[in-house]
Amino acid sequence: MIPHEHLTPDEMVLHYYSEGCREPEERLAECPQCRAEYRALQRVLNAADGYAPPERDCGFEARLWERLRRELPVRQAEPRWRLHWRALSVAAALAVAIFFIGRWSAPNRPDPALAGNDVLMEAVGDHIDRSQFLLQEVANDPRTAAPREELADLLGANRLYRQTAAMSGEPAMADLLDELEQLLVEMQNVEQTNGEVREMVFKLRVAAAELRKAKSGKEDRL
Amino acid sequence: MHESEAAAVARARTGDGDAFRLLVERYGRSVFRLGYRLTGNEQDAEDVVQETFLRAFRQLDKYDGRASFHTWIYRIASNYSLDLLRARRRTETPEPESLVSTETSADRRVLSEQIGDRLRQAMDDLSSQERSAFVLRHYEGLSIEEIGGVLGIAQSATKNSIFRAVQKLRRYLEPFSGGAR
Repeated sequence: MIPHEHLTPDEMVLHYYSEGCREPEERLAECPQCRAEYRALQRVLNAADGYAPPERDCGFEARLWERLRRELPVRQAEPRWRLHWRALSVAAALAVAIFFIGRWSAPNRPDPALAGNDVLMEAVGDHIDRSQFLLQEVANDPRTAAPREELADLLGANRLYRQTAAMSGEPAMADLLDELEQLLVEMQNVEQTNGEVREMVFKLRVAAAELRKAKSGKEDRL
Repeated sequence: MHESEAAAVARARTGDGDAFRLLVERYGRSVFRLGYRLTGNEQDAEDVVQETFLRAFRQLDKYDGRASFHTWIYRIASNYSLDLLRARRRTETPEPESLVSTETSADRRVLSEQIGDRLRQAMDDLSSQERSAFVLRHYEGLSIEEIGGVLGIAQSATKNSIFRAVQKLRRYLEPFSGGAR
């Protein structure tokens, strides 16, 4: 009978890490001593998994980049939203005015409520685009935090749209705007974390796409 | 390397901050984890992650794309961590080993804390090379060949470093690991 050759500790380590050039499975299956040794090794190495680094919060990358940016000779694009901010603000205010005019002073329309809803959705679409633009910039580059007065401007418009959406029977839109409002309030008070901003950008992107799709469907039908 | 990553590296070489930021965002967290496991210290790990990316940016011209960017940045992080460890060992007096409770409590939390303490002691007892090789293999999942590339040592030396690290860990953890799982 051929004397039994046990797996060496080093072979077991390689097997644990799937690095071995031999196939020790058979040996482990047929030899209780090797199997017991291997299980002991597994327990130790599994216990080593407990050496976990402390979790970094979701603003870690932003802070890291801020520190690096000061030290590195890099160039960055100027945030685009500054150029568009005032124009978007005026457009949003005009859209609200159009909505109210369309809703309350268009007696010849066959269904004033529906016509008003169309204008509301148009205005909310612009507002969402504007919010998305700002949040995307903040998410991409937290050092370009929005100036407080401009944030307040956006927040004021958002409140108006949210209340109007709720009164016009658009609960889903009212909920989204409510969530956006909470985020804008938080951004006013503290530096907002990138993760939350990205999540909101994603939701706004989805909502904006749905609005565009609904609008283009309506135009096709006309 | 992903095409977008290769493009980001190429743009970062020209001084494009947005491109380099993509790389920082992609690898910052994993470099922090590596730094923490190599140095065992949160503050040092923060230092490692910052210094790694500063060095990486300055050395981008030397990056030839043969290794993945991930492996290349780990090499920089490991080298800097090893420098920190060596400097610390030269200047610090080793602390006396803390006593592990000999109480045979059934409380798993206490046992888990004991294992955590022993694990930290075991990691501190490893040489710089053993610790690096073990961390890169066990936690980061790099192959022995990749670890050899990161640490600039032969595969046989890499294997031996891992074997020695595991032996030491067994000495520290075996009395506890039976009840750990």
